[in-house]
Amino acid sequence: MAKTYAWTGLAALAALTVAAATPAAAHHSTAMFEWGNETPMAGTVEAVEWTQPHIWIWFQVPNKTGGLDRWGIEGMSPSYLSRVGWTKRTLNPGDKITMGIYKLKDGRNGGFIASAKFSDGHVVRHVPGRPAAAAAAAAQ
Amino acid sequence: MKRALFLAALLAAATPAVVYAAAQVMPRAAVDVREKSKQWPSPQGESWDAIKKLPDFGGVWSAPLPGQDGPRAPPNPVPSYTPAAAAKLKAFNDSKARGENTQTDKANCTPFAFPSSMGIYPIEFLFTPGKVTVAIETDSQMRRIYTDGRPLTDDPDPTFQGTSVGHWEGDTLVTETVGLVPAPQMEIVAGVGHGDKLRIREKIRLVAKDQLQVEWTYEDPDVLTKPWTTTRIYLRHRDWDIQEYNCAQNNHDAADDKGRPSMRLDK
Repeated sequence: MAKTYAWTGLAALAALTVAAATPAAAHHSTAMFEWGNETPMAGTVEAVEWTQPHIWIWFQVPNKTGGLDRWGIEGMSPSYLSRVGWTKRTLNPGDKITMGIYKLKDGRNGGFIASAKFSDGHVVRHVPGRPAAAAAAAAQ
Repeated sequence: MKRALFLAALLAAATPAVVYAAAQVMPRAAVDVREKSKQWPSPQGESWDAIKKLPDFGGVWSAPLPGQDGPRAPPNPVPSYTPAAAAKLKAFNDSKARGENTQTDKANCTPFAFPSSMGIYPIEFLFTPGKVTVAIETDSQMRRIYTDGRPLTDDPDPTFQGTSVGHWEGDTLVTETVGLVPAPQMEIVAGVGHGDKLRIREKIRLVAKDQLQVEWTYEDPDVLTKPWTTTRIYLRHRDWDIQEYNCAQNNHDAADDKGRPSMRLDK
């Protein structure tokens, strides 16, 4: 996974902003997310929708009153993901994971998946580029 | 009862005949085009043998985007805008500062128009006699470049991929495209749109092993004071396939009429 993740000669998606003098291209902006600021959240995968233009993950997260909140989590597209090693079975219903989420700025229970840490400790990156902490460490 | 059945059968039998008869009358234009096509000289790619002599554009091609690693063309020059276009761009950028137009109608699944369509996800070139077809993964679109010698249509209907003709100059596919849908579906640069007289000249050629360079030169007297050329490098992936992409399948990210983002969270 690390190898495929490091590979970046791909065509992608949503998540990239486009320079002013570049012809317009991007499915939607990332302005509604805390983009780049990853919040770890522990929970259980309820369902995975392997769909265009983005995959969707429904994520059950324990709340402060002892119940569960359903979070709607957007991901990249199958077009992108299938070429960097993700499949429709990378995440499965029932998986207990800690998801790194770029949360919605408006405070609702939603966001964009940046990474998934499984119970055996292995981490799968989701967005292209390195996590901010890793990039900072690599720069030192 | 028998009579009713007979009439029903007669009607069923006659319906295709009526449709067929109507079709003989309706598509006069199509017949004319077929007749006219015999006059086109078909100078290049007119046979499967001729195609074998063309450069190898096989495989699936993908361009690294801004922020991604990979060989890329030098940065594009800054376009030289007409005063009207410059004012439009300024107003557009000002509106962004107010939180508007942070996303386009693409967020509502309007298909990407040429040439943006050639950039988000991969493309594939298909050579057949007299035509180069570009299979575009983004929005599962097709672009047809006629290389059979026909002239560009004078007044084409506007379409997302435009109307294109092309020819080979050595190993370079040189094309010309007109007839693109108006803004906001197609914009030379976000915020400036384009005029009726937009014409895009394109050069496609292999520049290194498994590297394809595409150059687009925009000519539009309503928006640009001089032609503006952008360049993009694509990398070949022989082991990729073009995938299906239907944006409306599960889109949670609509833009409102001011281009502000939203996110639908209902399951």
